[in-house]
Amino acid sequence: MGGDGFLRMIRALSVKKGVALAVAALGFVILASLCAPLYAQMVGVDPFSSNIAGTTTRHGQSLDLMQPNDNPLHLGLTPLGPDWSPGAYMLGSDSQGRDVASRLLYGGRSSLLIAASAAVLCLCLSGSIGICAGYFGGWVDVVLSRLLDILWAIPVYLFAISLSVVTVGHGLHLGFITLAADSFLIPIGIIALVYVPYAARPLRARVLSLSRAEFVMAARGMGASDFRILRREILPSLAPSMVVLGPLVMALCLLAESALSFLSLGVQAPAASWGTLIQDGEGLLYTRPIVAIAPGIAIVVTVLALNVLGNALRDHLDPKGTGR
Amino acid sequence: MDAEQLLDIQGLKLNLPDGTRLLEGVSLRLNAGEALGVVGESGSGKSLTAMSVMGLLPGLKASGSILFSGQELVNLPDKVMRKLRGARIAMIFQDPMTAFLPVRSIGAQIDEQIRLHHRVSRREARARTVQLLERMGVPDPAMAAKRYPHQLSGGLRQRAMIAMALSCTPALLIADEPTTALDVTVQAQILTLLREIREEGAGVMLITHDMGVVAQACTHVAVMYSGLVVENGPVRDVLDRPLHPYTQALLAAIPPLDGPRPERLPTISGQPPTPDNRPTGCVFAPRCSFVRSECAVRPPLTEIEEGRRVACVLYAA
Amino acid sequence: MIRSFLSRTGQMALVIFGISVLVFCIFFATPGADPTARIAGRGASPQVMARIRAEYGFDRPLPVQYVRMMEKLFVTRDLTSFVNHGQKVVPEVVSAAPVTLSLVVWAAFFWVVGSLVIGVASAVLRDSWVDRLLMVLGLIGLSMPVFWLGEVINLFTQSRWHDTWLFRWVPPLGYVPLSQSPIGWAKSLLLPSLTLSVSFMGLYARILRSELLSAMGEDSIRTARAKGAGPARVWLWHGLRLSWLSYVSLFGLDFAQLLGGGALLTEVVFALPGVGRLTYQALATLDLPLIMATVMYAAVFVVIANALVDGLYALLDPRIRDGQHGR
Repeated sequence: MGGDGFLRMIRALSVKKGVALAVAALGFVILASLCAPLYAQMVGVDPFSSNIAGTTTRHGQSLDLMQPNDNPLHLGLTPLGPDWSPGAYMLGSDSQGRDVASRLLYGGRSSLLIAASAAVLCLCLSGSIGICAGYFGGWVDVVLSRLLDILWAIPVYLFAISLSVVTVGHGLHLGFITLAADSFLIPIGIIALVYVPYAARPLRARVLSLSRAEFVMAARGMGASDFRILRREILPSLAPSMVVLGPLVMALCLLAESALSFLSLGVQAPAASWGTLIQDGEGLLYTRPIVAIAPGIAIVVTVLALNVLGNALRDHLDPKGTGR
Repeated sequence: MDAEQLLDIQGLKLNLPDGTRLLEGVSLRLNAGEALGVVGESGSGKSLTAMSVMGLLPGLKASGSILFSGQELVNLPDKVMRKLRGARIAMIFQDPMTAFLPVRSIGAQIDEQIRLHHRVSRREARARTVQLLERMGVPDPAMAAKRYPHQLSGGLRQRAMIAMALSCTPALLIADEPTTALDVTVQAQILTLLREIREEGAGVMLITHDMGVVAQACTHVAVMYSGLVVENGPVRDVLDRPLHPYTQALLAAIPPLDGPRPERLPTISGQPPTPDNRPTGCVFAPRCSFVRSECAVRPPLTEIEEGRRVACVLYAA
Repeated sequence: MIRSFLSRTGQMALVIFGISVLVFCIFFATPGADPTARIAGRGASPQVMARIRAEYGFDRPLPVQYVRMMEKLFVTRDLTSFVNHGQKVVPEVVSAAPVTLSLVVWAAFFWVVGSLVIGVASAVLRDSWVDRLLMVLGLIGLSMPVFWLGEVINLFTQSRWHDTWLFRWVPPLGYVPLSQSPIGWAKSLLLPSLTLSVSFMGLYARILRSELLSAMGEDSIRTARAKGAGPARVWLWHGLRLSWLSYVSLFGLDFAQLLGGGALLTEVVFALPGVGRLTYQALATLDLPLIMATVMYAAVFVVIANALVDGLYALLDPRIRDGQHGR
C-alpha cells in the first residue's frame, strides 16, 4: 500500500464519527503517556518512591498526604483524596503517598509499550507460522497446526500465568538469552506467545487460500522461486489481514498485561502499569476508589478505541472478516 | 374483464431508494390454465417482476398495479400478503440447493409450509408431503422426506422444491429459472411437470432466458428488455412471426435445429443500457437496425392484433 | 462412523499428550532452574529437598521425571503441595470445582440469554439508533478488564449504595454452597456471574448479529418468506438455525476455558473459593505443584469439551455429519 493509498484509507475511515473519536482518544492517551516525565517534573514529586510522611500544598495550605481517618470506626490513615485542580496530587495520593495522576501517566507508558510490542511480536510470530503452515503445507502444516491446537487448549490467562510464575523472581535463562526478572521483555514475550494461536489461525487460512489463488499459480508457472512468491505475491496480500489484526490483538494484549500485572506477575516494581495501579488501589477501594478506578477507565478507553479502530479497519480492508 | 384473468400487471414501476428506476412500467397478463414465459437477458427485470408479485422486495418502492384475482397487491400490507404467499401464489427458485435450508430435512420444510397455511397436525402434514413428493415422481417419497437437501440429486431437489410450492395448491406458480441449474434430461422432466400443473388449472409464470424452454412449456410469452415488456403474445405466434426488432434479433441468435449451419450467428451489437443511462425514447433504439426519428419518444405497449401486443413504432397505427 | 470416532480420539490423545509435555516443560524443565527448589518453596531444609528429589526422580532423566509427574497427577493422585504443609493437591482442586462450576454455569446462562436478545434485536433493527447503541455497549463490555469491573461493582454494591433499596440484598463477598441455602447460593453468585458474563455478552451479541445478517441474505431465507412465514418465524426459526453453528462452537470453547480456570480473576475479586482462586493463592506462595495441576486439568478439560463441541456440531449440521464441508 503506497502512501497515497494510506491517506485515502484514513480519509475513508474518518468519515465515520466513531472512528475519528477512537483515533483522537488513542492519540490523547499516547501523548499523555509520553508526557509522563514532563508532568512529574512539573508537579515536582517522584512517582516511584514512597512518601508517607510527606505533605503537599493546596490553596496555599499545607496538607499531610496521609490524613487521619474520617470514619472513627476505621483505624489507620487514609491517603489524600483528589481535588481535580491541576497541580500535584490532583487525583490524590495512594497508600504510599505517591501522586496517583503521575503514576497513571507512567503506568500508561508501560502498558502501552508492552501491549504494542507484544502485539507486533505476536503478529510477526503468527505471520511466520501462518506462512510456513499455509504455504508449505504437508507435514510442516500438520506439526504447526497441532502445536497451535495444543496452545489453544490452555486457557489464555492460565497459560500466561504459568509462564510468568516460572520467570517471576528468577528471570529467564535460556542458553545465551538471559533476561532479568524485571525486564519488560518477559511480559512482552509471554503475552505475545499466548495470543499466537488466536492470530495464527486466521492468517494460516488466508495464506492457504492465497497460495491457491490464480495470481500465485501464474507466478509459479513463470518459474518464480518460493521466496520470490512469498515476498512479491503472498506478503503484500497478507498485509491487510495483519493490519486488521493489529489493533484487535493489541487490545487483547493490553487486557492480558493488565490482568498479569494485577496478579503481580507482569510488570515488576518499581515500574508500574495500569494493572499494577488497580492492584494498588484494591485495598483503598472503599475509601479512595479513584486510585483503582482511574487506571481502569484508562484501560477501557484505550481498549475500546483499539477495538473500534480494528473493526473499522476490518470493514474497510477485509470485509469477509479475519479473526473475530 | 375476463373472469379467468389471474394476474394483471399494469405499468409496474420499481425504484431504488436513491431513485434509480429498475422497472420502467411492466405490463403483463396471465389467465388461469396458461403458462406465461417471461424471457430477457439478465438485468432485464424479469426476476424483479416476479419478486414484486411475491411481495418479496422490501425497501424498493413499487408503483403501478398488480391485480391478482382482482386483488391489488401493490402496497398490500405484509400481513395480508403473507396469507397469499405460499398459499395462493407460490414460487420455485433457480438453485434448489441453496433455496432449501441446508440444516433441516426436506420433509420438515415442506411440512412447515403446509402447517403455515392449514391447521393440520404434524402427522397429517407429513402424509400430505409424502403424497406430494410421490406425485412429483420422487422414488421412495417417505424416505426422501427424511433426507437433507445435500443428500438428494439436483433433479430430486427441484422436484421437492416444486412439491413444496404446490403443497397448498396455489392458483399462481412462479418459477424463476427452474431448470438452469439442472442437467438437460432432468430439465425436460421438470418442464413436463410444469405443463401438467398448468393443465390442472393453475397459472404458471416461467422466468427464463432460454427460448427453447419457453417453446416447450409455455402457452404465452412476454419478452422483456431493460425494465420493460417489449412484446407479448401466444407462444406460437411470437416464435413464428416475431414483431419487435429485439425479439427478432433474439430468435435469430438461436442456431437452427435443422438445415445448414450458418457461418456466423447474428449477434446484437452493443450492450443493454444500465438503469441509470437508459434512453428516454425506445429503450432498444441504440441497438436497433430499424431505428428512426420517431424512436425518440418511448412507444407504448399496444395491442396490434388479437392477443398480441408490441412496443415499437414500426407497428404504430 | 467408528473409524472417524477412533481417529478423533487418537487426535485428542495426541493433543493431551502434547499439552502435558508442554506444561511439564514449562514448570520443571526450564533450563537454569532447579525444579526441586521450586517445588520445595523458599527456605526448605536439605532433608525436604532430598526427599522431593527422590520422590519425583529429579536426579533421573527427564522422561522418567515426566512419567512420575503424570502418574502423581492422574493415577495415584497424591501430588503434594510442600509449601502448603503437605496438602494433597488433587482433592483440593476437586473440592473447589463446584464453586467454579456454579459461577460459570450462571454466567453462561446470562451471556447466552443476553447475547441472544441483544444480537437478534440489533440485527432486526439494523442501522437504527437502537442497533448502534447496543453494539457500542457490547464493545464497551468487551473492552473492560473483568477484575476492574468486579471492583467497581463491589464498590457500589458493597459500600457506596449498599444501604439503598437497590443493593440491600447483596450478601458479603464469598460463597454459599447450594446444599446450605439455595437462595443464598443464588444471591452470592448473581453479581459475580453477571460481571463475568459482560464481556462474553458483548462479544457473542456482535457475532450473532453479523451471522444473522449474513444468514438473512441466503436464498433459503427468501424461500422461507416465499412460503408465507412471518418475520418472527423467519428471524428466529430460519435465521437463528443458520447462525447457530459458529455461535455454538465458540460457546463450547469459552465455556470450557472458563471452567478450566479462565474465571480466575472474577473469583479473586469476589472472593469465591473456586479453582481459579486456588490457583491465585498458590501464586502468592509459588506453590508449583498446585498451579501445574490446575493448568493440566484445565487443558484436558478444554480438549474434551472441544471434542464434544465437534460432536454437537455434527448433530446441528447434517452436512458435516456426512463428511461434507459446510458453508
